[in-house]
Amino acid sequence: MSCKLSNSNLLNYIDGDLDTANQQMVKEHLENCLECHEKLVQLKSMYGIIEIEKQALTPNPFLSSRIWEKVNQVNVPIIPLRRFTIATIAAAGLTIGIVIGSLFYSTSNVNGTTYSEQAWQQLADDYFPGDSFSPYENIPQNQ
Amino acid sequence: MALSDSELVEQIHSENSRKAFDELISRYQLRVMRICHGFVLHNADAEDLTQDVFIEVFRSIDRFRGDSQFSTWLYRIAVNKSLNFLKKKKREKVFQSIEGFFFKGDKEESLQLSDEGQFAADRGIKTSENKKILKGAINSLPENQRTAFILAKYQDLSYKEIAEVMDLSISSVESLLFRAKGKLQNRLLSSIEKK
Repeated sequence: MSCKLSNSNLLNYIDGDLDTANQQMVKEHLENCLECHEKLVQLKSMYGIIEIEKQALTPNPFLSSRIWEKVNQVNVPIIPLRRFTIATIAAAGLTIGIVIGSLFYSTSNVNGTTYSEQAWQQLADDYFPGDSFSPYENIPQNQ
Repeated sequence: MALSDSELVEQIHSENSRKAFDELISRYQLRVMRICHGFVLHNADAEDLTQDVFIEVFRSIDRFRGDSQFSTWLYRIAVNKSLNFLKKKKREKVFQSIEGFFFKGDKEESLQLSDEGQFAADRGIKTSENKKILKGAINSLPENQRTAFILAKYQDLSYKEIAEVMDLSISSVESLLFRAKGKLQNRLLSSIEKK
């Protein structure tokens, strides 16, 4: 077996996942190749950390009480907060809509005049009937 | 005689039995913690996630109808919670880097604080270079390969059990594990050669 082939199977060899024939071939190669054997030793020490970490984990005797404490808490924060956020966004949207709508309405025009100009015109016609009269004309100058 | 998992689940269904749920917690706490640790590689985070997994189990136990084993359902929740945790953490990192781009001074301060926190949390734990390399290599695996690898190595589940948890065929699990170990080995060997 070549070093390349042996190296490509080292983790499976460590886990014993190769079939019997391949497991034996890798084993024989490692016994005869110092370089590959050295790699195996280093790989084993890295890979072995998983087992060490697994063994280091211990059950927490307080986990159960911590879980019950959380379970018994009423689910307050999440849903009301979301509802509140949705309501706020809806109210803000509505307000913006009203503002934009009123702006649009005040600047919409009929026959080239704005709403406020039309209103002034109507007021002037009521009080000063006449085709050519304008409330802004013939205002007496202050002496 | 100890009750089976399904009997305990039945008691929770019918009587809302705290005792039965406590028994499930003590039976599976360590196994769930191992799965979570395989993903997050941090003891405190793994413990918090284990807590979240059991809370989720309690809240959704009405939806468990016993179509699969309780352990399969539980491990699936543990895997999903762990993957979501990692995604959330990744998003937070992105936001932190964006925030850091705009508020450079603040970031330096917060980094300093988080380093101190990390130091306090990890005080007394010797983090070897090998451990870092191994963790980096596991994290670099694609999500499904990593899940299969963690269930196999951290939880010692059989191919059949992994297939049930991941909802895959046994041959797919074999293939995932083969590729995962291949990638892991290449990463580890290249770091050994660099040394």
